[in-house]
Amino acid sequence: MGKYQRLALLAFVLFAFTLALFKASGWRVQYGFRVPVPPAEQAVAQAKVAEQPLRKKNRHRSRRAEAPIALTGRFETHFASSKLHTQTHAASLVELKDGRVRALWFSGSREGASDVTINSAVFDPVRNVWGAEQVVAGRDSTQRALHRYIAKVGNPVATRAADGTLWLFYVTVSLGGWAGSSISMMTSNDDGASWSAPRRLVSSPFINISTLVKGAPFLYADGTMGLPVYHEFVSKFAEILRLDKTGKVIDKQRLAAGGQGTLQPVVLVQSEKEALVFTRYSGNDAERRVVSIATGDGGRHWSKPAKSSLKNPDAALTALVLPDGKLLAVLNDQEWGRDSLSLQMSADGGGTWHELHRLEEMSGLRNKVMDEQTCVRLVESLARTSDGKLEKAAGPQLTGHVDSARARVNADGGCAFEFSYPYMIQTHNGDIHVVYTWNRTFIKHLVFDRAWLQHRLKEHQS
Amino acid sequence: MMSFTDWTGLSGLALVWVLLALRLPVAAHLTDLKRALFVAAAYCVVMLPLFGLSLAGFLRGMVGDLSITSILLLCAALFTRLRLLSCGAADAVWDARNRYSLLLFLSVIALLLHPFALGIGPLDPYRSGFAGIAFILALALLALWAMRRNLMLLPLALSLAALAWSLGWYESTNLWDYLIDAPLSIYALAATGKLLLLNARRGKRA
Repeated sequence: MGKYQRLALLAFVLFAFTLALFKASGWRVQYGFRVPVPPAEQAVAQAKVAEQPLRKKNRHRSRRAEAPIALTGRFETHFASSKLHTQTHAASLVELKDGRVRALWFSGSREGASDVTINSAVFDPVRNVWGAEQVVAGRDSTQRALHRYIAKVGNPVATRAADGTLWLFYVTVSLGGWAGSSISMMTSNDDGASWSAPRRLVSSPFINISTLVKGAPFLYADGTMGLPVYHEFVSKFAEILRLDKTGKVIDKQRLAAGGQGTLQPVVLVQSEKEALVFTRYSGNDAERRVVSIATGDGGRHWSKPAKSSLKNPDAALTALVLPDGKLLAVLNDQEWGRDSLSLQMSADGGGTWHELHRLEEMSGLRNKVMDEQTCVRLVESLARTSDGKLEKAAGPQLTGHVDSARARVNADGGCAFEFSYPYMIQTHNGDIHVVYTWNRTFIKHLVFDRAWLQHRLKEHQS
Repeated sequence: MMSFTDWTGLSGLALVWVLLALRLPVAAHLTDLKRALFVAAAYCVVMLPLFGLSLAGFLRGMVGDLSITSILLLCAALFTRLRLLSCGAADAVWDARNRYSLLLFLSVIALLLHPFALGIGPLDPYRSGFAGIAFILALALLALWAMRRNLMLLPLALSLAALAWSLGWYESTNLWDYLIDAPLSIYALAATGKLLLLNARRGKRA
C-alpha cells in the first residue's frame, strides 16, 4: 500500500474515532433514583367512603359483613379480562392521568401460540367496572412494524415515562422458546388509546436474544428509565436496562451472575440512593427463596444476591414501597406449585415478612383425588367470589366462565389451580391494585384501600 | 414506513441472499454488466415483502442485524464476484496477512464477549459498548497499532464500525454490535481454528 493510501487510512481512523469519542462524551450515566410521589392524602374522599353503606356487591368473602366499611376498608375483586376460552397470562398495570387504571396482558389459544395478542382494558374506579378488552399488538402487526420475522409475543409491561407518555414494553420471539426473546417498545400520547409502531431494543450481542421483561420500570433522578429485565438462555440472571428519554438503551447492568437463578427482578425504590431488588428464584437449591439484591448508592453498585425469608416456587412476585417505608409483596408463599397467593408486608426493609391476607388458597387440594363434578363446583364457587358480576349470575354468563376455567383446572383429569404472575401498583389516591393470572383463564384484579390495609395490619398485630 | 435503521439492517442481510443468488447456475456465465444487473434485481427481490415479510426480514428475525465488519467482508466477497476488487490497493488490504489478523481479532473478542454475555460471571463486557470512552480509546489505539504493523483491514474494520456507531447506522446503540455479530463470531472461530490446525500440521511435517 502506498504512502498516500496509508495517510488516507490514518485520516479515516482518526476521523472515525474522534467522532465516536465526541458522541460518547455527551453520553453521561448518572446514578440516583427518582422517588415515586406518595399518594395524596384524600381526606374528603375518605370521608365519603366512611359515609357509604357496606355494599354487598363485589364484597370479598373475607370481609366481616357486620363491620362498617370505614373500619374494614374497601377490598374488591373483578376479572379484568373478559374473553372466554382463551389462555391469559402476565398482566401489568399502569395508572392513567384521569385516575383510571389500564391493565395489559397476553391472550391467545395457548401461551406461545402465534395467535397470542397483547390485550388491554381500563378499570374505572368511579363506576367500579372494567371496560371492553382491546388488542394492542400481535404477532403480525409487530412483524410488519419491526421488519423481521416474529413467531410470538408475550409479557407486556406498561409504565409512565418522565415526559408523561406511556411506554409499553413487550416480549417478542423469533426463534425458539421464551429464552429466545427480545424486547420491543411502543409509546402512547393518549394514555393507551392508541400506540406508536413498535421498535426493537437491542440488549444482547448474541443475536439480541434472551432479554425478557416482567417487573415494573422505575425512573432515575435524571429522568432516564430503569427497566428490570432478565436473561434465560444458557443461564438465568437479572439485569437492568437503562433507557434515555427517547427510549434508546444507554446502559445495562448485571445484577447477578448466571447460575444464581435470578429471574424477573422487581425493583423497589426506597430513597434517592437506596433500592431493593427481589427476584424469582429459578435455581437448583433445595431451599427455594426469593433472592434480594440492594444498592445504597443510587444504583451504581449492587450487593451480591442473597436469599430472603420469602418462599418462592420458581414463580414471579410483585412488590412495592408504601409511603411510610413498609414493603408490600404479593407472591406464591410456597416452595412448590402456584396454587395459593399471599399478600405480605415487611416493616423492616425486607428483613422479615408477615402475611396480611391469603388472597387465594387451593394448595390443600393439590394431591387430593377429586371427581370432575366436584372440581367444576369448586371452579364455579371460585369464579363467583372472584367477580361481583358473577356472584349471582346464572346461565350462559357463568357457564362460559366456568367452562373456560375448567378447561385449564381440570385439563389433566385432576383439579389443579394456578394463581400466578402478580403485578401491583399504588395509585395516587392511595388505592392498591393487584392483577394476576387466574388459572391461566382470566386476569383477576384486586383493589383495596389504605383503610383495608390498616385494618389487616391491626388484625395481624392483635 | 421503513425507518433508516430498518433499511440499513435489511440491506445488510439482503447481501447474504444476493451472494447466495450469485451461486445459482444462472448467474455463473453472465457478463460483468449482466451480473451487476442480476445483483440489483436480486437485492430488490429479497427486500420485497411477500405476505408481509421479505426474505431479508425473515433472516433478520433469525440472526438480527449484521455487524459492520460482516458487511465489510460480505461487500468484499460481492465485489470480488463482480470483479471490482482487483486493484493494487484492494489487494494490499485484502491479502492473507490482513485477513488472518482480522479473523484472529474477531476470534479473541468473540471468546471475550459471548460467554460473558451468556452469564459466565458477574462481568459483562457488552456494557462497555454503551459509549464507554475507555473502550473507544482502546479500539482507536488498536487501530493505530495495527497500522504501524502494516495491517490495513483491521483498522479499516474498526474505524468503519466506530463511524457507523457514531452515525447511528443501526437500531443498536452498542458499539459491540457494530464490531461483531454471532454468525461472524462462529465463522471467525472456525476459520481461525482451521488455520491453527493447518499450521500445526505443517509444523509437524517440517
